[in-house]
Amino acid sequence: MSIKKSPLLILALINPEKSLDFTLQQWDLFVRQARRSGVLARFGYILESKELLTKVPVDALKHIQSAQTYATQFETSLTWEVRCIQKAFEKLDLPLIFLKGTAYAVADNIVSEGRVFSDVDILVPEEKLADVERALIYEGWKSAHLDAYDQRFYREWMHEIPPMQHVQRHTSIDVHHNVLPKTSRFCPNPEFLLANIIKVSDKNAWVLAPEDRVIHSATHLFHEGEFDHGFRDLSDLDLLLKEFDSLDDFWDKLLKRAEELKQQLPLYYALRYSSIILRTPIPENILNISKQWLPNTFQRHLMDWLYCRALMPNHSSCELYWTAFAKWMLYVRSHWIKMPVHLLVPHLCRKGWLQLTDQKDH
Amino acid sequence: MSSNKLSSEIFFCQNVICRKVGDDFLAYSAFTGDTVILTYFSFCTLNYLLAEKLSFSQLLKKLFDEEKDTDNLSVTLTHTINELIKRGFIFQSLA
Amino acid sequence: MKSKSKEILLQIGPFSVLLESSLCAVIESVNNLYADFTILTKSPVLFTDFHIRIDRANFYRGYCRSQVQCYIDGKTPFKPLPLDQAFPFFEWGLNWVIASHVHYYLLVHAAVVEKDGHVLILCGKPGAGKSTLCAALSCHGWRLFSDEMAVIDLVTNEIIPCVRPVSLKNKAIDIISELSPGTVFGVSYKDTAKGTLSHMKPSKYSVENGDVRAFAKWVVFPQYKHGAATSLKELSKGQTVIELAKNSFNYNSLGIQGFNSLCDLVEGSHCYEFEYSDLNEAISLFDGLPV
Repeated sequence: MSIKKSPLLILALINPEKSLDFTLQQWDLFVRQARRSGVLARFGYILESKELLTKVPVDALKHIQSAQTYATQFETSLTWEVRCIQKAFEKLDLPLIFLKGTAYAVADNIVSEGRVFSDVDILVPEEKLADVERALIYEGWKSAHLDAYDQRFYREWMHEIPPMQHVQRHTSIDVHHNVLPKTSRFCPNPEFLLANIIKVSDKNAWVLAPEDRVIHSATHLFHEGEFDHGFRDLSDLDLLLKEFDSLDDFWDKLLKRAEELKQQLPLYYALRYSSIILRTPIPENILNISKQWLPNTFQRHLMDWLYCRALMPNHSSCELYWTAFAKWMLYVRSHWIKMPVHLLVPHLCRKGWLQLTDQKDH
Repeated sequence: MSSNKLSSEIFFCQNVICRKVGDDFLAYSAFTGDTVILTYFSFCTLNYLLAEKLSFSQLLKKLFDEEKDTDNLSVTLTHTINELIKRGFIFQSLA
Repeated sequence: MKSKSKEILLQIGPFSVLLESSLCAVIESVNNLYADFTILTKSPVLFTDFHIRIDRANFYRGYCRSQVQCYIDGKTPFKPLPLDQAFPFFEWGLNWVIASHVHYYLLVHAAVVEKDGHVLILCGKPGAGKSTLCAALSCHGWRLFSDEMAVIDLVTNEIIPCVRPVSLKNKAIDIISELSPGTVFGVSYKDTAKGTLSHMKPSKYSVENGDVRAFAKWVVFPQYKHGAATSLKELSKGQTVIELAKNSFNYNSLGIQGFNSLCDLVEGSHCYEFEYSDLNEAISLFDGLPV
């Protein structure tokens, strides 16, 4: 699969040294691509780790350092937020399991450097949801004000309760009981995830095991219908795989876990597109095994065509022909695989109507 | 927290700064983003904890010289510490 | 009226900005109000800080509902506006993109003017009258820095000019026109979210000295109050820091560096609360502020 002339952002992430050859006009475009994709600060940290940051022209450097300043303060605020959630969990006899961005920060994964996001995500057993909700309310969070339809949408069909917001800090927390909606075709058994958590040393916090962290990221991205963060999420996978590559038996565990959690296809896509688009070094035999999870050649070509468009950086200069159409197809697909038809059709109609009439849609 | 509970803790400051601006004492916590005007007593408390980790009794001893009303010193310090912990200026760990 | 897309590349304060639009009204307004500004030329050795496109919204909103949209880097964080508010949308979009992405300066929501090397920062809630004061002062020998934000260098603590058209609302438009009859105004926009809006072209003097920085000398929190006597009351420095922090776009993103920068600025300034109803008295008072 070839990609028409890769965007500057992709070239620079694959080979950061190449960015030092950019003209100022190319830096101009690069900064906008990176900022739009949410990876400008990340790139700054990558250059810093290679002692190349000071070689960037000052016009571009100030924007990169600006993004890093914001990310640094974000990380400090996140530390406080984690403390506040830990306080809420003090009375509960439950491990506090973080997911996604907060998990990466708490576990000090390289992928957390420069990464900013809007919500903290945690995972709890479904039977403990009410206790957790109560404990959070006691410490100042309240459930988003949603109408009856949205309340039902979350509580009956989804894998999380409605988002909660802190009344003073205005920060948000998403409380999950699974990584995919109950209505999904291949919903994993949450007991498997909960049985495989690890405690972060010196911290009163837990995260998913490394292979599960990768699978969760893959599941999230390849069930997703909106791709504003698509390229950033792909870059997350690239960095997670590079970091965990050095762990004993990581790749074998990864493949095995994908089968246990019924997430073979998302992992196949994750491995395929991070290796094609970002040239993530993945052992050939692992790629070949994962290929067997999508044996149909036509389907493979179709998904390549769709995802190699949708996963491009979210900037107009990175759009290929038919990108908008590809994103729309994946949008429909994401709902198709998350909800059965009798729920999907009325749900999409309602969503479309709300957007057309400028009403809020959760 | 009562002063009994505080006595088994060590206090310290992280990502905090305080300084005098004009006639006022100000402090900022990067954790909460709070910017506050402090009493002289609170300012001294924070300054001591910025320099080193201290227990309640160690802090009390250092503040003895700053605060003339020693009868209420323990109560004032308890209240100050609790308030500053709540707002992200002071952290505690077990001794 | 729509035509082929045009580009204008401007140096606006410390920022280079590329505006692209196919709407004549936008291009004409920019050519009028930014007439004295340096026009830049695209080249491989030019880095542009911000790219803003103002165009009709997508098909349904753009043509059926006659709406305009502001695109930053190809996407839009905004709700569309009525088509006739296209030029103000550029100004609001530029405010947004600076406030959202510039964390290498400290930015405070304030009007800023300068005289004899001393900067006056007028900080306050919307409706306090700071834009009116700022426009009036800039017509009376003060150099305009900005009517929207104080741009503070985090290293040197200098205030950096970011000269742009001054946006005035409702009665202020007539007041300034009367006060300074030669002043050029842009189009009047009725029924915006803030009432009637128009933009005052910045003085040539302000634009030509747009790269001359200076240090803050006075921080004033003005409040227009109908019938009130002109009064200036000293404000404690601690309280001033707290109020400036509340009015800052990015104080929360700058951590300890932002706090120190604000404290340094306030330490070197006289700080006041100011109430007024008579603009001429206000101008006289500011002319006589202690140095």
